[in-house]
Amino acid sequence: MKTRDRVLNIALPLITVAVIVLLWSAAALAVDSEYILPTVGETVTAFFELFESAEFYRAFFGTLLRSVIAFLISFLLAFITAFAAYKSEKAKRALKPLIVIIRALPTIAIVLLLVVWTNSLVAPVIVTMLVIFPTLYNNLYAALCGIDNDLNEMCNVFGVSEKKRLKKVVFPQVASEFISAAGAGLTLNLKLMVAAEVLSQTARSMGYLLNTSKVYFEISTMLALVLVTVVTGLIIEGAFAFIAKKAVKG
Amino acid sequence: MISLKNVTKRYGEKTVFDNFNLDIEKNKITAILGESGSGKTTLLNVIARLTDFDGEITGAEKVSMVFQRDRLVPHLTVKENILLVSENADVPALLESVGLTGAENLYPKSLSAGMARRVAIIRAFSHPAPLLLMDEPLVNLDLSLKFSIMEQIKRLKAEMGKTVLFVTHDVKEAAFLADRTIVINGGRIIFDKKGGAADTEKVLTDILLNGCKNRSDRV
Repeated sequence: MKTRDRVLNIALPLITVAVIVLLWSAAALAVDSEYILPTVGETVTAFFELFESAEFYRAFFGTLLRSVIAFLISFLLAFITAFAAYKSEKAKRALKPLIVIIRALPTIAIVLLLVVWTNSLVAPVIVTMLVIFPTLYNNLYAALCGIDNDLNEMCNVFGVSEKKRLKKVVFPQVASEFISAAGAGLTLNLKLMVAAEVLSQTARSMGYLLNTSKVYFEISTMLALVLVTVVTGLIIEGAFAFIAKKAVKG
Repeated sequence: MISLKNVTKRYGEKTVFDNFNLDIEKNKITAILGESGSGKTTLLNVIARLTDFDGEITGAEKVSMVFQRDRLVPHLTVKENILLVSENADVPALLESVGLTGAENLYPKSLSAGMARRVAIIRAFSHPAPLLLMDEPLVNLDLSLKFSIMEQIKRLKAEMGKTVLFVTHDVKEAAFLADRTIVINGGRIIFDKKGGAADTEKVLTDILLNGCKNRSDRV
């Protein structure tokens, strides 16, 4: 990568953040009320205060754990169905209406229904699973379709064993797309989980903390919780993008 | 002996081979020539079982192949590409035999067309299968590189004792490399002669220049 590109890669996101902070500061100054829009400084203070509270850690890791569980189940189901669709045109056709229906499900209505049918711990997990499933399915299916059939034929001719073929030829071809899809999926998952927890009133969750802050008009804490979710999402996506880059050699 | 008996291959309504028969002598280089669409590549694909067909093929249970495109795995090094198909290959010696000493750890994207072709050729030679199929192994290479690789193919074949069946458009390649030359057209053999050297070249050029369609005699 050229030096100019490297500088731009760092400078442009910083400029974007600076513009957001400026706009926020201007808006906070105009509103002049911490109960409506706290300043950037007040929000940053609230952000660091969160880390002094044991309740925050319980909520944060509770949300993260549920996100990971929902993501893993959804990823596994998406992989199985995408693989079936890749191998069989009939399976692909059979899955199409299911994917369309799941994609069209109204998230908020489903959360409320699931709270009635299950409980406030399970409902957010099911909802996030359902919402990220079509995206994961599409990404994984596209990655499988990208496998070079010429290399498959080459392996057939030379009698390369199935195990060796998967390990040395197939997996490295799809690894990068799989890992990127996983990173994006997990970030989306976290965001949805917090929203579903707010609606479900899930105990020991980021959503619950957001609700409590709203009740007490702690707007700076609400914004700090949003900031925690954003930063966590960015870290997850960045880590997965880094791993995806490392997964592709040559 | 490798034998194709009553091989029939159809693509939908189009019949490429109808009860096609061919015997290929072991440890020889046999060249298959023909116009585009005459079924040369299909013949190799049938022998390699890359496509369905009716009929019987004996003596070609295990094959190795040099494809039209090199089909090297892009994320594996040269060494890993060879070891993928042939676990016990002596990679440094193989690379040395084609003038690629020290190229073990290069990735395919950093190889020139000629280097990649030579890697594909030694990968196929390193495989333990006794029959080696080559689908236009020298296409798109410049003349000097072509002759250099032809020499290397001839030497590797002599050292490793393989049966080689190769498809080409180039009469000179066939004349230089082949112990036997076959021309196919419309799913039939229209020319079949042992000893591929210069005496065959003139006849082959005549056949290919004047068009296969007017010629049905077997030489």
